Amino acid sequence: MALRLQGRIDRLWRFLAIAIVLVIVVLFYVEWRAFQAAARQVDETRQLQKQTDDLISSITDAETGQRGYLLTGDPKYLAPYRKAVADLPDELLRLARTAADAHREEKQVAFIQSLIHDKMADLKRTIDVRDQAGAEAALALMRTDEGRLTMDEVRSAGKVLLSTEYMSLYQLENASESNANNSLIVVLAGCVGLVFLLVRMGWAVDSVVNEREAFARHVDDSRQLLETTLASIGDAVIVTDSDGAIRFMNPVAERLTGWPADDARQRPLKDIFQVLDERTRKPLENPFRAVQRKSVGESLAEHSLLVSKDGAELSIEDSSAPIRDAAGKVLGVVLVFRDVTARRIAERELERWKQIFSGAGFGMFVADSRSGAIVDMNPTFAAMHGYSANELLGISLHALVPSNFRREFASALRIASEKGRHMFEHQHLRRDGSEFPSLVDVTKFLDGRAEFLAGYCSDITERKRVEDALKESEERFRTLASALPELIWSTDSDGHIEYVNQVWISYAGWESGDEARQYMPLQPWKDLLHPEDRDEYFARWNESLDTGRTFEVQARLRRPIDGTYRWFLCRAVAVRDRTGQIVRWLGGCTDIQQQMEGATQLRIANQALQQSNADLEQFAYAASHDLQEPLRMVSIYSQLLKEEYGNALDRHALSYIDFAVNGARRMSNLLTALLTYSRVANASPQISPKADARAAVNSALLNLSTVIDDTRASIEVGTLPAVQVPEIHLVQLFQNLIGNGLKYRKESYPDGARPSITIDAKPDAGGAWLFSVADNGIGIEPEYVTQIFGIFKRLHGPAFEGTGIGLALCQKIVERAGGRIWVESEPGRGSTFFFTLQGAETGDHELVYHSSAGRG
Amino acid sequence: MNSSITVLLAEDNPGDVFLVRRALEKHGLRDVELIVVEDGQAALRYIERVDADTSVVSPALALLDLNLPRATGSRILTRIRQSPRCKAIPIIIVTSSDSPLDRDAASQLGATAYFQKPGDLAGFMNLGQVVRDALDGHVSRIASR
Repeated sequence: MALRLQGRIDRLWRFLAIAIVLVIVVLFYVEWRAFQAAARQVDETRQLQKQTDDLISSITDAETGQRGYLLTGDPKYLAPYRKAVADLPDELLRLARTAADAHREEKQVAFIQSLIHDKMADLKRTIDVRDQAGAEAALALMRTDEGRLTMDEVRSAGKVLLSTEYMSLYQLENASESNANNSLIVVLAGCVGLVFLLVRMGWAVDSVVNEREAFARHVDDSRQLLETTLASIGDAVIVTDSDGAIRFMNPVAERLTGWPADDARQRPLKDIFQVLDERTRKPLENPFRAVQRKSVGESLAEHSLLVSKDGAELSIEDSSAPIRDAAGKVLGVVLVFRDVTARRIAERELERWKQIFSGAGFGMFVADSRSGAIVDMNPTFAAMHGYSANELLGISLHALVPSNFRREFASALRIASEKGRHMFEHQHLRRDGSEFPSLVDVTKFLDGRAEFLAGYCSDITERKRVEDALKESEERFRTLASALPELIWSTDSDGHIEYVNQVWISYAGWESGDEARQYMPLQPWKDLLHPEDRDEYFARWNESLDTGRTFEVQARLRRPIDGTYRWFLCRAVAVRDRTGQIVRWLGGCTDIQQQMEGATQLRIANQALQQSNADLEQFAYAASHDLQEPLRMVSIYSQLLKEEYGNALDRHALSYIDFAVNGARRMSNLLTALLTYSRVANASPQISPKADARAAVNSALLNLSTVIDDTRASIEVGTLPAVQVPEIHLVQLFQNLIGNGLKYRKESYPDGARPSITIDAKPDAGGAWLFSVADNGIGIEPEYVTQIFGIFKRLHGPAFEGTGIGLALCQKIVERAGGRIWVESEPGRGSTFFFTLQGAETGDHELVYHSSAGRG
Repeated sequence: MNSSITVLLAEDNPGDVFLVRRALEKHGLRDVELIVVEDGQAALRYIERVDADTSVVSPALALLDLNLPRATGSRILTRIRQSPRCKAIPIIIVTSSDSPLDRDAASQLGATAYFQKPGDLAGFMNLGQVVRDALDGHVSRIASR
């Protein structure tokens, strides 16, 4: 405003200065014209004076010449006269013209002309007289003074003219001086005015310059202020030019976008400021475009994500506005945004809590601590009391409690207020007057200086009902448990005693169940347990606690009354809740003293039997081995006797030696068979390696090849599996059965027929195989089919050589492998030996084969 | 020094000692001089003497029964293999045991051959050939079966 006024004043001053200069110029011009005119007049005057002087001079010369001539008659004096006569007309004409031009003294000049004309005429006359009348006449004429008068007249007329002109000249000079003075005054006045104006304008310019400087300082300060402000405010600021290229970024903008301002400058905004919609993850319109399009400022949609240079995403809130010049042209866009990630998280959290609050299945409320007035609650709280949320606002909590519980309720709230938190059960009153029990947890909190109680409450009607039902069921259990003759007890999931029945209490000699509960957690009947049984008992109990498996152990428990131990079968099962979590163990101990006495006797007998068997087998092994040695001596030395002294002996003596050698050999065979049998029996009962039955049959056939060739028997072998039997035993088994079949062949067969053996196997129940070895031999009488498997049992005399151990060995092998062996026979048609063996996985076949070969 | 070959025989059964002698004779090993010890300790003491005194004749071969009183044939076998003077000699186990375990153990301990005493005269006489082969450097492989 001041500047604008100043501008108007400046213009006024400028106009005034120009006006003054114009006035000066005009005045000066006027004066100059006047001076010019005066100068011309002076000039004309001087010309008139000169021309007048010349005229007078010329006429004077002419007169002088005339007089000289008149006196002398010498024509030489006529020269000036003649010259004057020649010049005078021109000079007259000039003077006349000058006067005419100046419109001055024209009459005077005309007068002078006439006088000159007279004078000239006079002169001529005298000269003419002289010439014609001689000197005297001429002189006489001259003495008439006529001539002289005329001359004086001329001079006088000239003088008049000159004086007039001098006057005129004087006047003109005066006028000029006056004009010069006027000009001086005007110029001086103008100069004074201009000086004044200059001073005034100089002052004005100074003040404008000062103002400008002050303004520039102001602008500078403002910019400083702005930059410092922008640098220090928490919001990010980006300014673009009208093309959307970055012009300015403050440090916060640098940090949020990840772009240093120097790098970002001149780049398009869309490169630096990439925003996505938080939910759809689609790019949002660039704010520059938006502002350009709508040409007004705007805020980004909520939930915008800024993707920074390094790809990090930030929730931001932003606004943008166009920058316009005075004419309204958009110069650029200013974009202000801030990182609201933390706030967004907080908002979301708040939203979540709100949802939890309003969606919670239990009632939640906030009430004023002093008055109990409800200030906030969730819908569940209102609904459980039969109200809508708005109806309960401002209502006192006490109004929701039956009157006979109010005192109790008030004191509970007081406790919560004093202790900061209190949990209690109480009765609630519904709108319709019905009541329900609830569990309330109240926490005090302060909001400013006001104290509030926040609480939740849940309807525990169902729980109460379950508790009652549980109590009843437990009562039933206790009644039942105390009526049972067994020792009944229960522990919690960690093994702490919860309950023992009366039978237990009286058996242990305790005062009551409470005494049992003192034993924690492993000790309940430690002192009652037989020392030998404790370790196993606790090991199993701990294992059950760890695994949840049913606990079962037999242990001796001492009866405090008489100090005797009795056997008990103690069992406990885990009681689980719906989730499968163990909640308690329920156990019972049954007196099994009588059964145990019987079982112990049986076990002792069994052990004795096993021992006796083992001893027997050991004896058989040792005996057969050690018996071989002397037998070998008998046999060899008998042979030696025959060889060395055979010549000295007769036929009878030699046959006696043969009997001795044969007897020794048979006994040796018997001992070998017995040795084999005892080895099978003595073999340690480990998990058998696997063997291929087909390979075992092949080995057996190889060992029997001589017999097979001798008897021309036909052998048929079906598909055989791998089985769970040591190979060496399997070979023995097949060799004995096949050998048996060949040995007990018929003496003769009908035409074309010959002894035949068929070996086959087919799957039996439980992954086992049923093998069969069938012959077409003499068969076995039915009464012998079980006897034949006994050791040293032989059905036939010396016709069929044998040890009587073969089938016993077969039975031993099969039974040790967990199978069964039997024979089905038709006398005269043949026998079929059946046995079962556990099959082996075929996949293990190779492994089985190698391991059995290694052991063979 | 005489030209005879000294063979150590550890055997407690005189019947077998006789048969061994006969088997060696039968296979022409007449210049073999047998040093017979009837119990294990005696055999061990003999080896001690050989090691302690170079004037004691070192055996060129040993025939060891396994089942000996006071020290087993296996123990003698082990001791010989540790002896500086005798460790490289052929050692033949001569036993009535047909146990694969005994056979494997003998092989493991470094026996040169394993001869199972047979029940017939002719079979026993084969021992002569086994000794011959061993002396000739034919180390008969101890079959596992």
